[in-house]
Amino acid sequence: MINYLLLVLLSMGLVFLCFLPALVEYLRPKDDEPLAINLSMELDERYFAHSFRDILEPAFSGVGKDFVLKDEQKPGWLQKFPVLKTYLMMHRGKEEIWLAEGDIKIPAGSKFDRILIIDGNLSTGEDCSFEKELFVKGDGFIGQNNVLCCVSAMGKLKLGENVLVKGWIDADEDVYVSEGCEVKSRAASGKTIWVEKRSRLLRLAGDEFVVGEDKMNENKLEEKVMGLPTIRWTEGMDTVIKENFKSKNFSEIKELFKEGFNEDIPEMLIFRRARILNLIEPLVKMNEKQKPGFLKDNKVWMQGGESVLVKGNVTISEGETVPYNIIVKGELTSQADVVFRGGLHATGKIFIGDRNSITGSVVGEEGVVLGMDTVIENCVDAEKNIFIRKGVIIGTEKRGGGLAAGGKIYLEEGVSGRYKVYAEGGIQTVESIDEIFSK
Amino acid sequence: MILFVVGVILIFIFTVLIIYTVRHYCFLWNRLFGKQRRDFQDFPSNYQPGVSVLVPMYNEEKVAANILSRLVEMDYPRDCYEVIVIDDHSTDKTGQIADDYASKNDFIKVIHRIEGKNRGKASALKVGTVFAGHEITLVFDADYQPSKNCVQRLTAPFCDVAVGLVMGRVVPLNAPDSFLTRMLDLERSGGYQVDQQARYNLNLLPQYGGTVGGMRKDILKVVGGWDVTKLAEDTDITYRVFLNGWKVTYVNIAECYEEVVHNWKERRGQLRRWAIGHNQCLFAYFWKTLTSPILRFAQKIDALLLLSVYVIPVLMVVGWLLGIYLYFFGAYWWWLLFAALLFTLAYNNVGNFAVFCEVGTSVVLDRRGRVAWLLPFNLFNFFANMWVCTGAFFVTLFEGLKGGAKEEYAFKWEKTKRVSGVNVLGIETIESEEVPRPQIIEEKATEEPKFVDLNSALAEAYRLMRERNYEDAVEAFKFAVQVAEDATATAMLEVELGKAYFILGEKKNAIQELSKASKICADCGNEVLEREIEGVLNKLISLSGEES
Repeated sequence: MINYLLLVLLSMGLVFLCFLPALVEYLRPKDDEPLAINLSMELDERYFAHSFRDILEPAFSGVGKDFVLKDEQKPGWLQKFPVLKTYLMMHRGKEEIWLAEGDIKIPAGSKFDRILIIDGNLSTGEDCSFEKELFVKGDGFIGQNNVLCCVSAMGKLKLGENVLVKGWIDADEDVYVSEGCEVKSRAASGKTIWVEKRSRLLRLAGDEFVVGEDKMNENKLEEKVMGLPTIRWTEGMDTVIKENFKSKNFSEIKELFKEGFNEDIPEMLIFRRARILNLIEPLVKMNEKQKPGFLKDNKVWMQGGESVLVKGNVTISEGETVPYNIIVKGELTSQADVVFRGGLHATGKIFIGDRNSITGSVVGEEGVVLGMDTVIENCVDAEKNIFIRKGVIIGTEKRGGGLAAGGKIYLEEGVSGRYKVYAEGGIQTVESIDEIFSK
Repeated sequence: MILFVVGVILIFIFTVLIIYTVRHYCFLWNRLFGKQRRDFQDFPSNYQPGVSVLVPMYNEEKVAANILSRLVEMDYPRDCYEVIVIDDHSTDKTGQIADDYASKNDFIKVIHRIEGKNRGKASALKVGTVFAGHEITLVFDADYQPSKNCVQRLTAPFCDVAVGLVMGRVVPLNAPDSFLTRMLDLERSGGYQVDQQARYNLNLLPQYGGTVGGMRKDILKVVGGWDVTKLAEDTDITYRVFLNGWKVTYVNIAECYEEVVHNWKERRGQLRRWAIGHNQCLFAYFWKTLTSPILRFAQKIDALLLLSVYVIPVLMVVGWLLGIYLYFFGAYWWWLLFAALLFTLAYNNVGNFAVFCEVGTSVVLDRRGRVAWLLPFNLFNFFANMWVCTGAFFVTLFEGLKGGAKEEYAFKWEKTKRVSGVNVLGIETIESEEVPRPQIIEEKATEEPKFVDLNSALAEAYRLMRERNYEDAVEAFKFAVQVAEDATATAMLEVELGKAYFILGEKKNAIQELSKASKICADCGNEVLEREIEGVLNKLISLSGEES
């Protein structure tokens, strides 16, 4: 009997043991706060640089003469400049920070292992190495083959050829990334990011970016026209659209504008104008009789909301118009000059031909290839690689755009845009997309 | 023979539990080691469609200011952002608070529902949707406090044309309040951080939870809008959208604080409501899901398992009872082992709606510490859930057998009692003293019938209908039809006008109005509504025929 009793007591003890930690935490709570949410956090593409600058802001406030470095404490290239030194607690621990005033030139082969703030311009020679962050209050020019941690500049920032940046780069004005550079995190700019071929980055977050220009040139910036042109629509032009909308396609209407008004207006803008003029039917009923040729062999569901769901691979032939959002459970291929009056989504690969116009977004659960001079009004997102040929415009007017991939993004020389680019596998600039396909 | 039948039932239950266990371990594995799917958050600031935020409220004076303050501070361009507060017959200061915010912010609109009685959240949302002017509709409950970027994050996935519904993450704010709130904190954590995210990663069915989420307005119309007869209007809309081929997306990073129930009585009511509503959807959508030509096999399986989740506690109760029966009357050792296994499986793997292993994993993923020590206490929550869900299952079953439902559960606000009224900064916002009804409502009540906009015309029309003044009601509805901008709203108003004509005895006019409504629906492709209207129309025609 006593054995059974002991067994029962032992069992109860073991059960109680499970509840013991729970009881401790309940009676003496140490982790009972709600999960922290930063309710006031704003989305900021240049967050790294902004927060870095905020952290450094108080570093030299109230610093006295004791903090002025003597000449023997400074490397040769800082000899003629006043330099202050202080310490700051950062996420890595206590960091030594130097503040140098003036336009500084760092000679080739130099190495530096502290956080450096330069109150002026900075230029570095070849093969320099900086283990910690640089903050330049003027323009920054980084020489060839430098190895950097992170750089923030309040003016322009230019990376020479084959520079390796282990973190991010950021500038209030233009950023220029030369051939062969690698930026392991994001490149951000308040203005334009210029990237030469054979460069690798993780993210491009500027107002606009240009791939493959020879050098940073302000005039070119002025001349460069991004996105779609602005058209001053007249009553006569509207009448042309109204009269010809049902009988002619957008390419033909475009020709009419060329002839009648001497205006070369992209089809996308004609379509948009037609929408403003309430000419686009709110919905296109899909049934077997109305099925367009490219969906003849597919199972099609009219989903409502101006969308169709299609099972099987779809190939859209040259010059066709797709009047609705199209969701394809398979691969989607469009040949040249196709007009999509909505967005598209495919579970397989997406191949968009040259000069296509897409009013919505392109979302692929696999890879996406965008042909030359294609215009996409919203965003492009793919789970795998994205290949962008030159002349592609993503994001127009107010809508903006975005380009994101779970794999790599290959940007052909000549690609430019006013959108953010993010690729988990990195962004690579190439002379031609064909060289990647041939591999 | 009895033993054989009991054995077969037990094997069935055991198999179902094993399936749920495997499912949950798949989720766990995916969350810990699998590829995490991207949720369009790489360019939230680049895609900013028009957004209407609906906030249904009924006696929410303690929390109304919190949510409205958060929505005023929301980081979203004002030219494509509006907040619509639906004040559904509140008897406290709610309407006044909302009016106050609306007077200071152009983008806030307040709809005061003052006639008749309140008819529940789904009904309030239905009205709000009519007034929503933008392409995306988001919903926040009144006791929620979204982060500043929440709207941006929730709208980003809509750049994909295949996305119909979006859901964000809910985090309990009042976790420290009581034993129950701490348990619910854990449950929410596992449910969102692991379960919802894994289902999204695996391209299955994350569930829209009725708040901190939203949908495309046109899709809402296509699937027939909010169903006021369903207690779980969120599950209902999730399945209707999903079965129509749209994707449901979960955005873990779109976080929002909520106030969870703080006592067991409230919890029981809430759970019972969810269980009944969910089971209503089970009966409505089980077969449709199984036979859907659009869904993949894995999607069907997951959708069915999600649909049946409130039946599992019932199965476990049945399993245990049968286990006890076998222990006393049958194969003693074999079935005892069976029952013990069942218990272990149930406890370890199903246990709660966010199972224990998932809760543990979520604590790790959220980098929280000792809160995981509380996990064994969830056993009590689990037993409570089992008890309530079993009761709710039989209620739904009997109501279903009787031919449905509805009035006892639907058309009313099932509210969670607000206790704190504390916003995230810890500031008390409103004293809970009784206050007179807002001035604006008093004025409306004494005014002569006159309509300046759709809202006032509708309010007046329904008031007149209640007073059996059908002639004036017809005039009010006519005005409403004229000013309605949206096709579906126009169609619905035509139906109301038709009804008024019918009661008035003008059957020709009634048929004419319903025909108009049907045509409008056909034109805008709203087949669901079109079918419904045609049903009413046919009845009307047959009635008229019989009379003549």
